[in-house]
Amino acid sequence: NELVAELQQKLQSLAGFSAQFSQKVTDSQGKVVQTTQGQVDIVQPNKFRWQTYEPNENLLVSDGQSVWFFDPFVEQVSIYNYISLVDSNPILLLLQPTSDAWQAYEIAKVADKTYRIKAKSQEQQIDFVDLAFSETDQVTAINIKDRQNQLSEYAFSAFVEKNSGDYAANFFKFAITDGIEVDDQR
Amino acid sequence: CALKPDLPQLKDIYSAKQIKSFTAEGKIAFIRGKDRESVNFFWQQQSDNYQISLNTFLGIQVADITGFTPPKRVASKQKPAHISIKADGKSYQSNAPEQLLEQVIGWPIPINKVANWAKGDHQGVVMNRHDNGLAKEVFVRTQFDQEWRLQYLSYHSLGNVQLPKKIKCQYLDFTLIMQINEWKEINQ
Repeated sequence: NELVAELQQKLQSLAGFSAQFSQKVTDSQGKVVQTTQGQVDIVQPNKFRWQTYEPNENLLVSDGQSVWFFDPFVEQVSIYNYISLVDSNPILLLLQPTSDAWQAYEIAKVADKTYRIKAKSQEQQIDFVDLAFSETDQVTAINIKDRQNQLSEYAFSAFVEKNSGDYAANFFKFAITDGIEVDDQR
Repeated sequence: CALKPDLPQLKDIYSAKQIKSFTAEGKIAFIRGKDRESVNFFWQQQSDNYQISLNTFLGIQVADITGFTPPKRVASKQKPAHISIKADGKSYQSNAPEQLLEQVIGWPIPINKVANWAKGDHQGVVMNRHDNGLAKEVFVRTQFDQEWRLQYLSYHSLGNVQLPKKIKCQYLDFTLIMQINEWKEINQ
């Protein structure tokens, strides 16, 4: 429908950006069960780096072929094929405005600049993702509601437009050093 | 963040044994050979009752666990241990908490003991101590004749009491690591 096209057009205009985020997770009884800060870097169509800071340090990074999930707490990096992940995760979908994986989702508008991306299938753990834009079409929030009615709210700040030339060649890769357990799922 | 403004009741707590209820938030890791997994936890303990929420780093709930651990010193005809777990859209109940946790979550979490271990109330044999005298390595024998090795790697100081920050618990080939980022709502 035209809302899909509208959202896809907005996403396409976001060739790349970097932003700081702070996350607040509220459970179904309204208790804040988790808070995290971090930074996200995205370059269309499929490069991203999602870094959370201490004390909840994690790194999710992709060069478009592989996706690395590094968990320093257990000193392990899990590696996936990008293709296998993108369809099952509405957040990665935001990178692929033209992907046909969008057909698996319904788009609604819950506010003037806020789009709700809802999975048509029920099996996914994520019920919906809300994506909010500013007046100047910068991403201001991503909210994820899971099937247990738990809400993970990401507020974005320090939004800077970027393109791939702004990043070092290996920025969207993970360098495996010794001492890190490799869990290769490819 | 030594003394939290919102923890007035801390001033008359001098030992972990006095603490009957708390909320702790952090990360827990499970390791067995090459198999490793970590998850964020939000743990609310009210005397012998606990409610634990396990979440991914994206904030998606993996499991919601509520349970009761019978205190040891009470007479035999007491209420038995009980646990209920909500995970993957299903709910499970049992009077054998540790078996159900291994069946549903996949890891043999010694749930009846971890709340006390996390406070540093281990009732084990201290093998060695940090320079400041706090327990560093402790051996604990459980009622099922399991011998756990606990390593208290770091502590928070909160008011007059030191509460563990990072704990490594090992039994045979299974390791559980708990990092408590924040202690709150501590009460007697």
